[in-house]
Amino acid sequence: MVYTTNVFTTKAESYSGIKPVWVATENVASVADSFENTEIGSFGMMIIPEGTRVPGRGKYILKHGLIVEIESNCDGFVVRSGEMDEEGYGTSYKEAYSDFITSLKDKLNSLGPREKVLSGRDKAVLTKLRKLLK
Amino acid sequence: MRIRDVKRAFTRKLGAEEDSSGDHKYFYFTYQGSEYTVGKLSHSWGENLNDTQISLLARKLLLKKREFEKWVECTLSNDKMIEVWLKRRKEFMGYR
Repeated sequence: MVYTTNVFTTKAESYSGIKPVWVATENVASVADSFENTEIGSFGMMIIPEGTRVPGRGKYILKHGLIVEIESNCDGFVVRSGEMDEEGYGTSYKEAYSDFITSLKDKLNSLGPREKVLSGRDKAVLTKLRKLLK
Repeated sequence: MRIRDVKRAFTRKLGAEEDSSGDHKYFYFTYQGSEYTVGKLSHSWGENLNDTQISLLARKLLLKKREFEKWVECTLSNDKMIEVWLKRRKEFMGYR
Protein backbone atom coordinates (compact mmCIF):
# COMPACT_ATOMS: atom_id res chain seq x y z
CA MET A 1 0.00 0.00 0.00
CA VAL A 2 1.28 3.46 -0.87
CA TYR A 3 1.66 6.03 1.87
CA THR A 4 1.89 9.68 1.00
CA THR A 5 1.72 12.68 3.26
CA ASN A 6 1.86 15.46 0.69
CA VAL A 7 -1.85 15.46 0.19
CA PHE A 8 -3.13 18.96 0.28
CA THR A 9 -3.11 21.73 -2.17
CA THR A 10 -4.89 25.04 -1.79
CA LYS A 11 -8.35 25.38 -3.29
CA ALA A 12 -7.07 27.97 -5.69
CA GLU A 13 -4.41 25.58 -6.97
CA SER A 14 -6.82 22.71 -7.37
CA TYR A 15 -9.33 24.85 -9.19
CA SER A 16 -6.65 26.17 -11.49
CA GLY A 17 -5.88 22.68 -12.69
CA ILE A 18 -3.18 21.45 -10.31
CA LYS A 19 -4.47 18.15 -9.07
CA PRO A 20 -4.06 17.26 -5.44
CA VAL A 21 -2.01 14.20 -4.58
CA TRP A 22 -4.06 11.11 -4.00
CA VAL A 23 -3.39 9.02 -0.97
CA ALA A 24 -4.02 5.41 -0.16
CA THR A 25 -3.42 4.19 3.33
CA GLU A 26 -4.47 1.28 5.46
CA ASN A 27 -4.23 3.35 8.60
CA VAL A 28 -5.87 6.72 8.29
CA ALA A 29 -4.65 7.80 11.71
CA SER A 30 -1.06 7.39 10.53
CA VAL A 31 -1.38 10.37 8.22
CA ALA A 32 -3.58 12.41 10.54
CA ASP A 33 -0.70 14.58 11.69
CA SER A 34 0.04 15.71 8.19
CA PHE A 35 -3.60 16.64 7.65
CA GLU A 36 -3.78 18.49 10.96
CA ASN A 37 -0.83 20.66 10.02
CA THR A 38 -2.14 21.77 6.66
CA GLU A 39 -2.85 25.36 5.91
CA ILE A 40 -6.40 26.60 6.49
CA GLY A 41 -8.29 26.65 3.22
CA SER A 42 -6.60 23.55 1.86
CA PHE A 43 -8.28 20.90 -0.20
CA GLY A 44 -7.28 17.33 -0.94
CA MET A 45 -8.46 13.88 -1.86
CA MET A 46 -7.88 10.52 -0.30
CA ILE A 47 -8.84 6.92 -0.84
CA ILE A 48 -10.19 5.18 2.22
CA PRO A 49 -9.03 1.67 1.43
CA GLU A 50 -10.90 -1.57 1.16
CA GLY A 51 -11.04 -3.41 4.48
CA THR A 52 -11.27 -0.26 6.61
CA ARG A 53 -13.27 -0.99 9.74
CA VAL A 54 -16.16 1.27 10.71
CA PRO A 55 -16.06 1.96 14.45
CA GLY A 56 -19.06 1.32 16.68
CA ARG A 57 -21.90 -1.15 16.53
CA GLY A 58 -22.33 -3.49 13.59
CA LYS A 59 -18.67 -4.28 12.86
CA TYR A 60 -18.91 -3.05 9.29
CA ILE A 61 -15.94 -2.96 6.96
CA LEU A 62 -15.48 -1.32 3.56
CA LYS A 63 -15.76 -3.84 0.72
CA HIS A 64 -13.99 -1.48 -1.68
CA GLY A 65 -11.99 1.72 -1.54
CA LEU A 66 -13.80 5.03 -1.37
CA ILE A 67 -12.53 8.34 -2.75
CA VAL A 68 -13.23 11.26 -0.45
CA GLU A 69 -12.57 14.99 -0.55
CA ILE A 70 -10.99 16.64 2.47
CA GLU A 71 -11.27 20.33 3.11
CA SER A 72 -9.78 22.37 5.92
CA ASN A 73 -11.21 25.73 6.92
CA CYS A 74 -11.22 28.01 9.93
CA ASP A 75 -13.83 25.82 11.69
CA GLY A 76 -12.01 22.53 11.18
CA PHE A 77 -12.19 19.75 8.62
CA VAL A 78 -14.82 18.31 6.30
CA VAL A 79 -14.54 14.82 4.77
CA ARG A 80 -17.00 14.32 1.94
CA SER A 81 -18.08 11.70 -0.59
CA GLY A 82 -20.25 12.91 -3.45
CA GLU A 83 -20.87 9.32 -4.48
CA MET A 84 -22.40 8.46 -1.10
CA ASP A 85 -23.91 11.94 -0.71
CA GLU A 86 -22.41 12.08 2.75
CA GLU A 87 -19.96 14.17 4.72
CA GLY A 88 -18.36 14.36 8.15
CA TYR A 89 -17.23 17.37 10.11
CA GLY A 90 -14.84 17.83 13.03
CA THR A 91 -12.57 20.40 14.58
CA SER A 92 -9.71 18.00 13.85
CA TYR A 93 -9.09 15.72 10.89
CA LYS A 94 -9.54 12.66 13.09
CA GLU A 95 -12.93 13.88 14.30
CA ALA A 96 -14.07 14.65 10.76
CA TYR A 97 -12.92 11.25 9.51
CA SER A 98 -14.63 9.47 12.39
CA ASP A 99 -17.83 11.47 11.87
CA PHE A 100 -17.77 10.63 8.17
CA ILE A 101 -17.14 6.93 8.43
CA THR A 102 -19.72 6.38 11.17
CA SER A 103 -22.16 8.41 9.05
CA LEU A 104 -21.89 5.80 6.29
CA LYS A 105 -23.05 3.07 8.65
CA ASP A 106 -25.80 5.22 10.17
CA LYS A 107 -27.01 6.25 6.75
CA LEU A 108 -27.17 2.64 5.57
CA ASN A 109 -29.14 1.65 8.68
CA SER A 110 -31.43 4.65 8.37
CA LEU A 111 -32.17 4.36 4.65
CA GLY A 112 -32.58 0.57 4.64
CA PRO A 113 -35.98 0.32 6.35
CA ARG A 114 -37.33 3.13 4.14
CA GLU A 115 -36.25 1.59 0.87
CA LYS A 116 -39.75 1.25 -0.60
CA VAL A 117 -40.60 4.92 -0.17
CA LEU A 118 -37.22 6.54 -0.84
CA SER A 119 -36.67 9.03 -3.64
CA GLY A 120 -34.66 7.83 -6.62
CA ARG A 121 -31.55 9.64 -5.46
CA ASP A 122 -31.66 8.18 -1.95
CA LYS A 123 -32.40 4.71 -3.33
CA ALA A 124 -29.29 4.96 -5.51
CA VAL A 125 -27.22 5.98 -2.48
CA LEU A 126 -28.62 3.05 -0.49
CA THR A 127 -27.60 0.65 -3.25
CA LYS A 128 -24.06 2.09 -3.25
CA LEU A 129 -23.85 1.89 0.55
CA ARG A 130 -24.88 -1.76 0.46
CA LYS A 131 -22.12 -2.45 -2.04
CA LEU A 132 -19.64 -0.51 0.09
CA LEU A 133 -20.33 -1.90 3.55
CA LYS A 134 -20.56 -5.44 4.88
CA MET B 1 -27.70 29.46 15.07
CA ARG B 2 -28.76 26.88 17.62
CA ILE B 3 -29.09 23.20 16.85
CA ARG B 4 -32.51 23.10 18.54
CA ASP B 5 -33.79 25.74 16.11
CA VAL B 6 -32.61 23.68 13.16
CA LYS B 7 -34.23 20.57 14.57
CA ARG B 8 -37.47 22.47 15.12
CA ALA B 9 -37.39 23.80 11.55
CA PHE B 10 -36.97 20.29 10.16
CA THR B 11 -39.62 18.60 12.27
CA ARG B 12 -42.25 21.24 13.00
CA LYS B 13 -41.93 23.60 10.09
CA LEU B 14 -41.14 21.17 7.30
CA GLY B 15 -42.83 18.19 8.92
CA ALA B 16 -39.80 15.99 8.35
CA GLU B 17 -39.51 12.70 10.18
CA GLU B 18 -36.52 12.29 12.50
CA ASP B 19 -34.52 9.09 12.71
CA SER B 20 -32.10 9.18 15.63
CA SER B 21 -31.38 5.49 15.90
CA GLY B 22 -27.64 5.90 15.23
CA ASP B 23 -24.91 8.37 16.15
CA HIS B 24 -26.45 10.78 13.66
CA LYS B 25 -29.96 12.10 13.29
CA TYR B 26 -31.41 11.98 9.81
CA PHE B 27 -34.43 13.96 8.69
CA TYR B 28 -36.75 12.73 5.95
CA PHE B 29 -39.19 14.93 4.11
CA THR B 30 -42.11 13.26 2.38
CA TYR B 31 -43.07 14.85 -0.92
CA GLN B 32 -45.56 13.31 -3.34
CA GLY B 33 -45.25 9.92 -1.71
CA SER B 34 -41.45 9.72 -1.69
CA GLU B 35 -39.05 10.33 1.20
CA TYR B 36 -36.07 12.62 0.72
CA THR B 37 -33.07 12.99 3.01
CA VAL B 38 -33.05 16.68 3.87
CA GLY B 39 -30.87 16.92 6.95
CA LYS B 40 -28.33 15.29 9.17
CA LEU B 41 -27.18 16.28 12.66
CA SER B 42 -24.35 14.65 14.56
CA HIS B 43 -24.77 13.88 18.25
CA SER B 44 -21.27 15.27 18.77
CA TRP B 45 -22.22 18.75 17.56
CA GLY B 46 -22.55 21.44 20.23
CA GLU B 47 -25.60 23.60 20.84
CA ASN B 48 -24.35 26.48 18.69
CA LEU B 49 -23.55 25.69 15.08
CA ASN B 50 -20.58 27.21 13.30
CA ASP B 51 -20.51 28.38 9.67
CA THR B 52 -19.26 25.05 8.35
CA GLN B 53 -21.98 23.06 10.09
CA ILE B 54 -24.64 25.45 8.80
CA SER B 55 -23.23 25.16 5.28
CA LEU B 56 -23.33 21.37 5.46
CA LEU B 57 -26.97 21.51 6.54
CA ALA B 58 -27.83 23.99 3.81
CA ARG B 59 -26.18 21.77 1.21
CA LYS B 60 -28.41 18.81 2.11
CA LEU B 61 -31.43 20.98 1.33
CA LEU B 62 -29.78 22.37 -1.80
CA LEU B 63 -29.89 25.84 -0.28
CA LYS B 64 -27.27 28.52 0.03
CA LYS B 65 -26.12 29.12 3.58
CA ARG B 66 -27.96 32.43 3.87
CA GLU B 67 -31.15 30.89 2.47
CA PHE B 68 -30.98 28.13 5.04
CA GLU B 69 -30.45 30.63 7.84
CA LYS B 70 -33.44 32.66 6.67
CA TRP B 71 -35.59 29.55 6.51
CA VAL B 72 -34.65 28.54 10.07
CA GLU B 73 -35.19 32.13 11.24
CA CYS B 74 -38.59 32.11 9.48
CA THR B 75 -37.76 35.05 7.20
CA LEU B 76 -37.91 32.63 4.26
CA SER B 77 -41.27 30.86 4.13
CA ASN B 78 -41.58 27.12 4.04
CA ASP B 79 -43.39 27.27 0.70
CA LYS B 80 -40.64 29.39 -0.82
CA MET B 81 -37.95 27.11 0.54
CA ILE B 82 -39.66 24.03 -0.94
CA GLU B 83 -40.01 25.87 -4.26
CA VAL B 84 -36.25 26.54 -4.29
CA TRP B 85 -35.50 22.96 -3.24
CA LEU B 86 -37.67 21.55 -6.06
CA LYS B 87 -36.15 23.88 -8.63
CA ARG B 88 -32.61 22.93 -7.68
CA ARG B 89 -33.38 19.22 -7.61
CA LYS B 90 -34.47 19.51 -11.22
CA GLU B 91 -31.28 21.34 -12.09
CA PHE B 92 -29.10 18.48 -10.91
CA MET B 93 -29.08 15.14 -12.66
CA GLY B 94 -30.03 12.36 -10.30
CA TYR B 95 -32.03 14.57 -7.98
CA ARG B 96 -35.37 13.88 -9.58
